[in-house]
Amino acid sequence: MTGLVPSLAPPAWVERHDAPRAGWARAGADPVAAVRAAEALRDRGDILGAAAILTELCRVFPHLPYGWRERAILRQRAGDAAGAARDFARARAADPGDLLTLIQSVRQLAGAGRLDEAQGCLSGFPTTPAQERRVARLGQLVAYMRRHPEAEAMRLAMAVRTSPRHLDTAAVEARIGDALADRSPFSLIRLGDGEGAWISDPDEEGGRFRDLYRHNRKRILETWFGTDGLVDRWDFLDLRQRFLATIPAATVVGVTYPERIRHEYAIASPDGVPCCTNVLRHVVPLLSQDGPSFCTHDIHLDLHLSGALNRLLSSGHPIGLISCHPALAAALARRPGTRVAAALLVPEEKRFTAVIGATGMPGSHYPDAFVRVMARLRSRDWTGVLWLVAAGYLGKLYCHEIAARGGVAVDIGSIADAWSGKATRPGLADLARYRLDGASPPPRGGRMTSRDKAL
Amino acid sequence: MTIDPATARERVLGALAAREPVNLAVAVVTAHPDDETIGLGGVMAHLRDLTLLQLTDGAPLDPAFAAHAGFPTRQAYAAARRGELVDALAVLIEGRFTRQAFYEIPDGRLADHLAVVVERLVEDLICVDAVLTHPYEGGHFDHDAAAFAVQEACTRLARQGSHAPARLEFTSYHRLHGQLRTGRFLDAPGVPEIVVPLTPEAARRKEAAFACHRSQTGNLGLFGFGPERFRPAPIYDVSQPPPGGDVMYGLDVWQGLRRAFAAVES
Repeated sequence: MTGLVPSLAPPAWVERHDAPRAGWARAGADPVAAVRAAEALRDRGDILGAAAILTELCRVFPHLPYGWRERAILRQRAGDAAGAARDFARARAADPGDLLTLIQSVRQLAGAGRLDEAQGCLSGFPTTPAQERRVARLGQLVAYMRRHPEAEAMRLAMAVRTSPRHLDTAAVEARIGDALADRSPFSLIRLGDGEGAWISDPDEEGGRFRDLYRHNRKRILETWFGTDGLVDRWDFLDLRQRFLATIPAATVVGVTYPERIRHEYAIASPDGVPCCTNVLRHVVPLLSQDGPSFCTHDIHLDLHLSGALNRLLSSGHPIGLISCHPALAAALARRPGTRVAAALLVPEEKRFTAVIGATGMPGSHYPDAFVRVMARLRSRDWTGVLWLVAAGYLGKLYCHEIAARGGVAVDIGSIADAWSGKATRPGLADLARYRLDGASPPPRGGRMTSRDKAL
Repeated sequence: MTIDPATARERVLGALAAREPVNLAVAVVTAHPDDETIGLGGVMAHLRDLTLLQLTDGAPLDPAFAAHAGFPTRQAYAAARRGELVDALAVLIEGRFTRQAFYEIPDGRLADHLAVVVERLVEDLICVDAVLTHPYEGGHFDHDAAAFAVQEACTRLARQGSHAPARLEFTSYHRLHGQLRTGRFLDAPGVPEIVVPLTPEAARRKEAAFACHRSQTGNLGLFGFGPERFRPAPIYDVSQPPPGGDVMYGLDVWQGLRRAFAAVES
């Protein structure tokens, strides 16, 4: 899934015949090289440079789909849905069988709410065995968006946001502070798209989205463990039941929010749409029962940026840490007033191995490290200990275990990466904002707990 | 801490003595590739949550050592020793460890890098329940530097109020009454040791691991496959020479070590 793209006014640059820019000159007369040059500029953030190359490409090679398709993608990202639709139509006209054009067209049309046209586009795919599964998945995505339209997902997201049980960052901080002060168990877990892939069952709703769900599960398994070999393994499937049990048992659950839903549906993300929506479909019924409070699943970022994590770390309570960063626990321990009582290491998410660097931990998180960590968490009572857990999907189970043993567990996710100077997510690109030793804003009203606030 | 140091010490030593699996997180800190095989090759397979911290690369800066071992460069010698260690670990524990970190200090130069080593050990030891390393016994200056570095890292963790692991020791070598002694500790009053006779299978594994350290055949011939010994690490006064034994590397070198220890402590 890509990061959120800021909404821009429809760009004026796309139809201008600017003088060829450096990228186009480098590309010469080779349309493929031109596309690559444009992509390079786009990835560096030079959208105007990329657009200039692609506009020139469309002018010189109007019979090829590449320029139209790539320009459509640029338009789409800039929020120019109508312009994107026009360019995709030109790309399809130039080469009705171009696979990338068809895939992008289906998603663009679905994202624009033109589900019938998106469905129609699927018939243009080559009828090869290799494409049948892709067509099936895209067809299921379109069917999912028909069955669970954006309006439904937004209604669910708004139900969470407007619920009295929805907490803002300050309230979450206060609840954590209260739990530490009272020495009562607490678990904050966050449900993102990875968890969303496992929250739903491929066989639900008559299995009509099975290919899509299974593909999303495989994709996230690759991200976590570097292999999708666990997708059908009974022990890992059993773990899903334990994961589902952590949700109603948690104190606070971070979930998708309306803006994110808007984004995922707008780009018709094959993983973002079902994963985020299924999280909401799963948790909204909990609003009518006794159960957890809610917040956004970006709460970890907000807790850092608001200075809440800094205040909690300095509050004198012993700290536990689960992360893949060997040096992070000692970095925490070096902070004045921070006492690290326990630190458990887990292997990194394999998709980010290159970013995170060598940790010296061979193998994957499941099952070996998972069994070790669970055994150590079960070795004692954790009352009064603040655990910071950065361990992905399995981290929800760790949070549950810590709270079951009296502790306070906060799912800090990728903040641990940022504290270690590793930008593993688009949202962490500005690492300077996420320094462990960064100055934090002063406590708002000096509040640490809701009890203090009442006083 | 997941477990307090006293309990960790008892549980690790108890399990080793009984030749049972140790499920606590244990770090093994060694000065050179092959020290792990010498000190605990027979029982290493019992450590189910093992972190191996290798302080030097086993290749001295003086190229004569590499040449003597048949390698064209120091780097080639270090690479060979790394490969030998990997092979030995495959024999001893079938490559199953939780974590492995190579500090890559040149062999014989640990004392020159003590400050960095201690800082890294603080980072690595906060994650384990117990740490096994060399005794401070005057056998090899890198061994004594490793003993000091572990003691200092654990002291710093405890001073911070953070989790510090239980400190334990395995045997290396020293000189007593003019004789080289391997597989034994220098006496430390009030510090009980456990003796773990190797099973035939463990002895075979250790012998096979010795064979993996191909470049060290001559040195390893001094060590046998007798019982392995472990004990809680005493608190060493490193401002004094190792108690009860001779300093094999000479008092002049020890004076240099002492100054390096003092610089880090200060």
